Parts: sequence; structure tokens; C-alpha cells
Amino acid sequence: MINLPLQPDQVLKEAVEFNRKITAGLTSLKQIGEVEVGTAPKDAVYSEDKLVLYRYRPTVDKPAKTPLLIVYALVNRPYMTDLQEDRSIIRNLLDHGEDVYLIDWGYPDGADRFLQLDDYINRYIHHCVRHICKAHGLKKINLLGICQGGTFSLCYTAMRPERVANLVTMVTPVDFHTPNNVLSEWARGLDVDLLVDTVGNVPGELLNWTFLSLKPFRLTSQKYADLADILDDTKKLKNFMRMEKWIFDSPDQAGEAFRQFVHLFYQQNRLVTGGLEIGGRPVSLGAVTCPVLNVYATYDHLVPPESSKALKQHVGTRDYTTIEFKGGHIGIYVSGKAQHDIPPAVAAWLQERSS
Amino acid sequence: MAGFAESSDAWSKAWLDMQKQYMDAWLKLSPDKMPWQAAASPFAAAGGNPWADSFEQWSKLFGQGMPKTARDVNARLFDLGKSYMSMSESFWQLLQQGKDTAAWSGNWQELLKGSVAQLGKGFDFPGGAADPWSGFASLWGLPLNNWQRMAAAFSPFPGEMEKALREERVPETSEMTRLVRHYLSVPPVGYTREWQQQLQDWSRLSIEYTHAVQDFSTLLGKVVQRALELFGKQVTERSKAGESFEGLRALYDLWIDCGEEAYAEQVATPEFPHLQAELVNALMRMKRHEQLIVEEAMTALNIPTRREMDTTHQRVHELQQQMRQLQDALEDAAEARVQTPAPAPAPTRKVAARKKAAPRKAAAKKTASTATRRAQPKTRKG
Repeated sequence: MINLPLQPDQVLKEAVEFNRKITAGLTSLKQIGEVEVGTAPKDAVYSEDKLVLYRYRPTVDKPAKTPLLIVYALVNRPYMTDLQEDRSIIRNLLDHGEDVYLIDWGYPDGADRFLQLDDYINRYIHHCVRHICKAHGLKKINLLGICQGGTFSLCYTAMRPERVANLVTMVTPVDFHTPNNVLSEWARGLDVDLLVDTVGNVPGELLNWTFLSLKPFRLTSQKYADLADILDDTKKLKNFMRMEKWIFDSPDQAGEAFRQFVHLFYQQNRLVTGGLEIGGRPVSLGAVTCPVLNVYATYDHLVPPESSKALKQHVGTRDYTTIEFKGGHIGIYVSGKAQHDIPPAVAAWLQERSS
Repeated sequence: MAGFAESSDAWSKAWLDMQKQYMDAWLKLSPDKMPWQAAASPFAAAGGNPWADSFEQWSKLFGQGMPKTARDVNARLFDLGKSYMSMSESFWQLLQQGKDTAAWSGNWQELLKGSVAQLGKGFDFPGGAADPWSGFASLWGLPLNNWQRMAAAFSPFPGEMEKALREERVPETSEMTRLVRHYLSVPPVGYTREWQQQLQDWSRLSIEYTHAVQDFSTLLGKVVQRALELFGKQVTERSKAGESFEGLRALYDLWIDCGEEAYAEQVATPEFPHLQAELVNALMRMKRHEQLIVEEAMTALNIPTRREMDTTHQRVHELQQQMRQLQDALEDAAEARVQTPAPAPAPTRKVAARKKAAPRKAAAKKTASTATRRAQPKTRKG
């Protein structure tokens, strides 16, 4: 008896079934229309250049007195925090009593090519913080920085400690030279001066390629094979399309800011080795003395957990808390477990420290 | 393995038979006019892989009017579909042999090993290295094609031309390369020497870029070979243990796992990030030189250039920064006025001004010293 691992007729049958799913599913794709993202009600309260600061409408009668400003990364779009009604960190934070603001950086174009980290941190973030402080009659507010936005938030807090009451960092790179950081290994070999001098703003397409290159077979092949299984389920298909939109909705990166970020953080690792200056101001993590909550993901392939966990050794605060999320860099925003666990924990941590 | 190539027709026939069952359903899905509907059979003119060709036509037609995101997904699904079918065909051929050939009743695992090696031959190409973009490995070609698509946006060549150059590549050590390099190193002379020099430099940079692509391709070829090795090993081990696969999809998932494992092994080498970065660097060197050539030509025609735009943007940015610093200083001063209690009325303006300045100086000093103290390492709560 021949012990074949699979019968040839079965292969043919499955191939046909796969074909049927795709062809039938394309009808669903055509009918699905444009997917909506970022649906929580919000108001634009401040703008500067391409930046827009949004305030989300509170969902409780008495929201927290100290507002929470979410600082997202320049890479990809911040609607990941409010992807859809049942996958929204922002809605969950609102429901847990937070008064939430969010910075939308917009899409830089050629005229923004010379924006520097100083502009993003000491100008844009600072102006948003100042606007919120004025609006609420406060001296300081809470910050929640995500990924690169977390690194920016750390820098801002180090430079303007008087403005930040509590700092939450999520999947934030701190030590850029920890082992197995594939993105960092690649960035260290990159001639970023040549790149920026040549292309000006760094195209989002290049970043997409870089991120897809981290797990190429899963992200460019298997994912779409999985899609074939859900093409006839409109709800799941819409969820997939929202995520797909977010993944490839990659703004170009302002050239000078990108150059500085790669040089100072990825190549020189100044945030932990010292000597970091932004806009002529020294940045030392030791100057971050407000309470810090650091949330990281154990299976994060973009920001290895070790890179985030390094914050503990360098930050100046005596009130340092961590939350370890068993998931990946994307799952921490959108998975059911993350929705259940992360926003309530963040809100509780902030409320414990509200004065 | 003799029947391996010949069975391609059998695959197509078997596939065609089953495919036809779905044709009516397809036509119902898109009742609008289909250009190929009038033909006796869409497969009649298709040739090659009937599924891919007919699906391509159908997909293009059907894709019209799709939302943009859905169009992109449609294209990716189509790419995957082609690869998946290619994989199905390969496995079907392999398993069909197992069903029909007496040789399989002996040591079929050895046959499988040979078959996997055969699949690997699909991506041999001139120079003895492997092209991971082709043949059975086209599943791996999907991610790698991303570079080709991305680079095409920067390159003066269309994406397909870059692919053609890659396929016609000449090894770095070949006589042809040596001759070309020799030619390019001949110093230009005469009235147009500068222009000649520019073109020679560009040619050198384009050769460097082609070699960077080749080096990276070769590295990825190693990934594919290693993935096949892992895949063959896994299938053999499971079969020896009497385990069967739930279906084609299970084999595909195993294949992906092996691909990621092989890729991770290669990524961990110092060579990989170096070659990946060099791929970008070499493209940028070539592109940068093209820009210089174009800038000179545009300047000669008195047409505005990117360099001029950059200079203007930089100056605007510097002005904006200066203005921002002034605005911030004014805002800070206004905030300080609000926060500092008004001093008691003073006898003269001069004295009042001195008194007003004093608390702010003291406050600034205090803040600075507090910040210094806080920067000292401290024991944590958490």
C-alpha cells in the first residue's frame, strides 16, 4: 500500500474549490464599496501646517479632568487606534472615562521635506499640548505615545517635563540595538544621507517594502490565501479590507526628520547611549520623572519587546509600570484580547494617578 | 521523473474539465458584455495555464468599477491565485505519478526528494545562480516582486525592463563585464568630455545597481533552496511517520512555514542586511546621478529644477522656524505673566522692571536645579 501524503484527486478538488472561492469572492469585493475607518465622533480643535488635532467626544458624563493626548507614529495613519466600532482603542478609552485627543500628522509633501524632529516634537507636539492645556486650564496633561510616537513622547517629556503629568508608551522602541532587531540591522547599513538627498521625502512605498520584507511569505502570500476563506463573509471581508487599507496607507516621510530619526536612533542609538539633542535641546531619559506606563507586545516583529523593555533601565521616574501583551505589533491595537485588556488597564493606571 | 514534464498536458486537461463546470457561474457573476464571450471557449485561445489566462481576462473586466483598495486586493489575490495554481499543478503531477507508477511502491520518499529537487530546477538561470522569481518558486516571487515594483518608481527603466536585465544578467567576473568596465574607464576627451563623463559614470552606477539586484537575488535563491530542503524533509518525515496532510492547503501552509524559517536563517546572517541595504544604496546612487544629469539639462533650458525648489523650501522652513521661536517666546512670556502674581505698585518704572525680572530669574534657576536633581538615578516603585 502506497502511503501518499495526499491524494491527487484531492489536490485537484481543492484547487477547484480555491478557484471557486476566489471567483465568487471577487463579487463581494466589487460590492463591498469603500470601507470606513475612524468612526468615533470627533472634532478638529487645532491645526498647523498639515497637522490636525482632534478631540473625541466623551462618552461619559464626567470624563477625566486631565485629558489624554495620543501621539501616533509618522509611519502609517493614526486611525489604527479607531479602526472600526468594535476595534477601537479610542472608543474603549472614552468608555472608560478618558478625555481623548489625537494628533493626525497628515500626508507630508515636497514642501514639508525640511521638517525636522525639532518641528515634530518641539513645535507640533508642544503646540498641541499647549492648546489642550489652555483649553482645560491645566499646566500639564497625559500623553500616550504609540510606536515611533512613543519615542517622540519620551523625547518631549524629557525636554518638557513640566507639561506631562503621566506618560504611557505603547510598543515603543527605546534601545534600537537589541539583538534580533531586523529593521534596525537594515537601517544601520542604509546610506540615509544619500537616500534623503536623492528622494527628498522618503516614499511610503519604500517603508511598505521594508515592513513586508520582515515576514515576506506570511504578509504577501499566506495572508491572501487566508482571505480566500473569508471572501463570502462580508463582515470579515470588511475587517480585512480595513486592515489592508491601513497597512498600505503609508504617508511619505518628511526627508530631514527621517534622516535624523535613522541617524540618531537607529544608527547611533542615542536615546540610550546618550548625547541626544533635538533642536539644540538635550534629551535625557533620566529627565522623564513623571509616572510611566510601558506597554509592549511579546511577539512584536517591528519593535522587539527587548527594545521597549530597555526603558526601565534608563528612565528617571520612580513610578514605572509595565504591561506585557501576548501578541504582535498590530494585534495590540485591534485584537479582541487587546481591546478587552489594554484600554481599561491604561485608564485605570491613569485614574490611579489623577490628582 | 520522466513523466513529470509530459504530465503537464494531463494536468491542463483534468483542470480544464473541472474548470468548465464553473464557467457558467462565472458568466452569471458578470452579466455585462465580456469581450471574449463571443468566442467558442475562452480556453480555446488561452493556451498555457487555462485557469490563469481566463481568470486574468475575467479579473481585469470584473475589476472595473471596484473601489481602489478592493482593486489592489484583487490584484494580489490574482497573483496568489496564479502561484497557488502553479503549486497545485506541481503537487498534482507529483502525486499522480505516485498513484500510477509502480516505482512509488518502493521508496517513494526518495522519489519525493528527487521531485523536490526537480522543482528547485525551475529557478536555475544563467550564471549558475538561481532566480527566486520564477518557476515553482513563484510563491516566493510574490514578496520579491515587491522590490521590483517599488524600485520601478525610482528607476528610469520600466519594471519589466529591469526584470529583463536581471534575466540577461552577466556575472560580475565575466569577460563581458570586464570589457564594459574597461570601456567605461576610458577617459573622455574633447568639447563634450563632461557630458561623456556623466554618461560613463551613470553607466557604471547602473551596472553596480544591476549587480546589487543580482547579489540580493542570489541570496534569496539560497532562501528558496533552503526552504525546499526543509519542505522536502518535513514531508518525508511526516509520511514516514504515517501522517497524511489534511489537504493541499496544509501543504501550502507548511511551505510558507519553511519559507519563513529559511528566510529567518538568512536574515540572521550579517550578509543579508548588508545586501538589502546595498540594494537601496545602489539604486539611490544611480538615481542621484540621473538627477544631476537632468538638473544640468533643465538648467541649460532655463527650466526650474528640484534643486531650486529645495532651496526655496529650505529658506521658507528656516523663516518658519524663526517665526515659531518668536511666537513661542511670546506665548511663554504671556503664560508666565498669567502665572506670576502682579507685584505691588512701585515708586518708579525702573525699579518695577528690576523687581519683575527677579522672580522669573529665580523661578528659572529653581526649575533648572530641580531638573538636575530629578535626572539622578532613583529606585523605582515598579
